[in-house]
Amino acid sequence: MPVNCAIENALLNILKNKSRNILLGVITFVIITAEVAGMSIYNASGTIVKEFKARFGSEVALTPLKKSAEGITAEQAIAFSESECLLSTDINSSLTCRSDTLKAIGQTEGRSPNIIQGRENYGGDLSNAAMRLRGGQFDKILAEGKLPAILTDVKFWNRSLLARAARPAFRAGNNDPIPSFKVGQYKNECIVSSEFAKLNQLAVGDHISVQAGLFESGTLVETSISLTIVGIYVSAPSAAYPASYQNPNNEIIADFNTVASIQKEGQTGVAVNATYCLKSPELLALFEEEIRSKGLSPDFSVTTDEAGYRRLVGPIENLNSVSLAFLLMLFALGVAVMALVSMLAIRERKYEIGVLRAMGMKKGQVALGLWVETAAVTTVCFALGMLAGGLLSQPISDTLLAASGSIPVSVSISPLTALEIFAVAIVLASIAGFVSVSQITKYEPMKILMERN
Amino acid sequence: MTCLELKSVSYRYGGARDLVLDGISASFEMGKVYAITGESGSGKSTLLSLMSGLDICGSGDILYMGKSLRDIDRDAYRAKSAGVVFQSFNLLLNSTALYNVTLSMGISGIPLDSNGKKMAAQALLEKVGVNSATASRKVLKLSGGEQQRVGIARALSHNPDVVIADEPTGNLDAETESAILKIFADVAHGDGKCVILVTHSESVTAMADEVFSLCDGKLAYGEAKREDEFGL
Ligand SMILES: Nc1ncnc2c1ncn2[C@@H]1O[C@H](COP(=O)(O)OP(=O)(O)OP(=O)(O)O)[C@@H](O)[C@H]1O
Ligand SMILES: [Mg+2]
Repeated sequence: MPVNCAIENALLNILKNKSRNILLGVITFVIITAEVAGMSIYNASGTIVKEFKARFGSEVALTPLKKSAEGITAEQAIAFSESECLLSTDINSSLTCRSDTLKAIGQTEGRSPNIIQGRENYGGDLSNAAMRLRGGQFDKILAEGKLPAILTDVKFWNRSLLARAARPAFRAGNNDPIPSFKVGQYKNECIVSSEFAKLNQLAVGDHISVQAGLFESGTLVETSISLTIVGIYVSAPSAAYPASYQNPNNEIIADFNTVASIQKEGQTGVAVNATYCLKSPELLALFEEEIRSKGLSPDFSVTTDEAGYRRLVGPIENLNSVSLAFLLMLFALGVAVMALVSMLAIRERKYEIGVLRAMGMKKGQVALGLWVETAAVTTVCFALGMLAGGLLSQPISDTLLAASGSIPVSVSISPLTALEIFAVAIVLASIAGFVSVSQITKYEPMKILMERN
Repeated sequence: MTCLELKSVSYRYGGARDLVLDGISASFEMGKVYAITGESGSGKSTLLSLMSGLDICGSGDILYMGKSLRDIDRDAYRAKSAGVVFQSFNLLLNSTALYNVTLSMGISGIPLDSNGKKMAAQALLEKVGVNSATASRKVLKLSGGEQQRVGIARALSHNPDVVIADEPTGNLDAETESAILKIFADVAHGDGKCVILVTHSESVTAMADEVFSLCDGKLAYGEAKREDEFGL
């Protein structure tokens, strides 16, 4: 069949026109290699930008403008956290305390002998407190069975152990799962560090009692709180701290409400720490409007660390747009080079085309033959280019990210990327083919042969 | 049966002032050998290229089996019906002699598998005096006479109705020439095809059934007076 013989002829031609096809192949190879590297960097950085935005959001700082500014109440902190603008919220309440029956880690008799002795030792100076009662959204920890972002100082905690502590069976102290969780169920329950438990010979199920120091019109009021230990997490060994209540291993972790509700009307002493992360920095104005209407005092400023966010996301966003520009430029260059190469190739092969046409091969078949020849070379070089590009993309990306001062990012070619690049290759080959066809159509065989003679 | 018929065919090259061919009429029958003579530059090759459907005449018409070459698929006409030997051969230089012939068979759609084509092509090449060793060399590395014979084998390869050859024996020695002429005679008289040869050679005009001469754009019946006859 004539069509078959056009294709067969094309394939034989690949070897007959070695130098030309090698040139074409090298060009394709270089373009595809660069395209793969660029495309995988573009995709990777795009993913990372999205991930970073989702993961880090933009942290909002609520900063008191006056020393006398009253703290944010637990109710406010929770009300604020319900905003649609937020990606995540991290609320905890904390309170320094002491105990007549428990010892704190790092508590040196000589240095602060009075720490756990009398109320006068508070003296309005919190550094005399022995430990800290920390209220996270404990019910959430337990219900979700994982460590959510709602607790601060997570770096000091053994995440996996805390997660295990949160498992119902662990909490029950046996293998019977507890069927359901309710908010507020954990009232007066707590978990402690293994170091603290060892020091005080505590076990799950034990009851402990601590005294919290609160203030009422400038006077210290001590409140006694009884807690039941429902979990012990394995802690990293304690470092040295100036005051024992600063040691995270001395933190008794209870439910947020358990800690927040210790403070009665008219009292101060429970610190509510809230960190809000916006879905994106642009939502700041909206969020501020919302929390002001929910009662945030004008004594607080609402700001984001946009510079920090940009520092984190910016370099990758830059890399993303640079790689896109690079891709587009490369694509344009590829198109131009392919068009030029095929134009030159046609001119160079005018005689051959004339002979084939004189022998009765149709224009379409001649064009098909040229396209097959180009496509075959392109395909082989596509495969090689993919390989080389895949190998190159990681070091290139590393270099770019290092130059922009960002964290290293793992770059790889997904099947989708491969498909995209294949589409690019096909477009390039087709442009070459299109140029061939339009050139061939210009010449009648007679003219082609005459010009050569 | 009339194979090709020229009806007041005129042709002018693009940009040229004068007509190369000026109202030529003639008819070429199946089963005959025709010779066309004429001075260099008289337009013989131009006439052949029109008859082989490589170009279209400016005015007038060329009919193949009663149909105008303007209207029929000229690619198919060249591929199947006409076999052309070019003055400058027009072979694929980077391919072997054998491939030039088998490719022509392939384009014509001859019902042979690739082995069959090779065998037939080889036989044909042997017939015009190209042995298998020569046939497997690239055309680029063949002598002028060898290339000419490859061109002839290619023109005959698809068993065309009309063989159009531009000085097919110009590069051949007398012995080879007569062998080739015998083949052309067989094609016309044996197979009943139409053979049209452009020539300066007396042995060609001698074996032709009809002779035309081309002069001043006109085609005249009979042999033109040769230049050397005037000299003395
Ligand atoms: N492509 C072209 N463009 C313009 N004029 C051409 C072209 N090809 C040929 N000619 C002119 O047309 C005339 C006829 O040329 P042609 O090649 O048909 O002559 P010919 O009879 O075959 O000559 P020869 O015996 O030398 O082969 C010549 O004057 C030639 O210069
Ligand atoms: Mg000529």
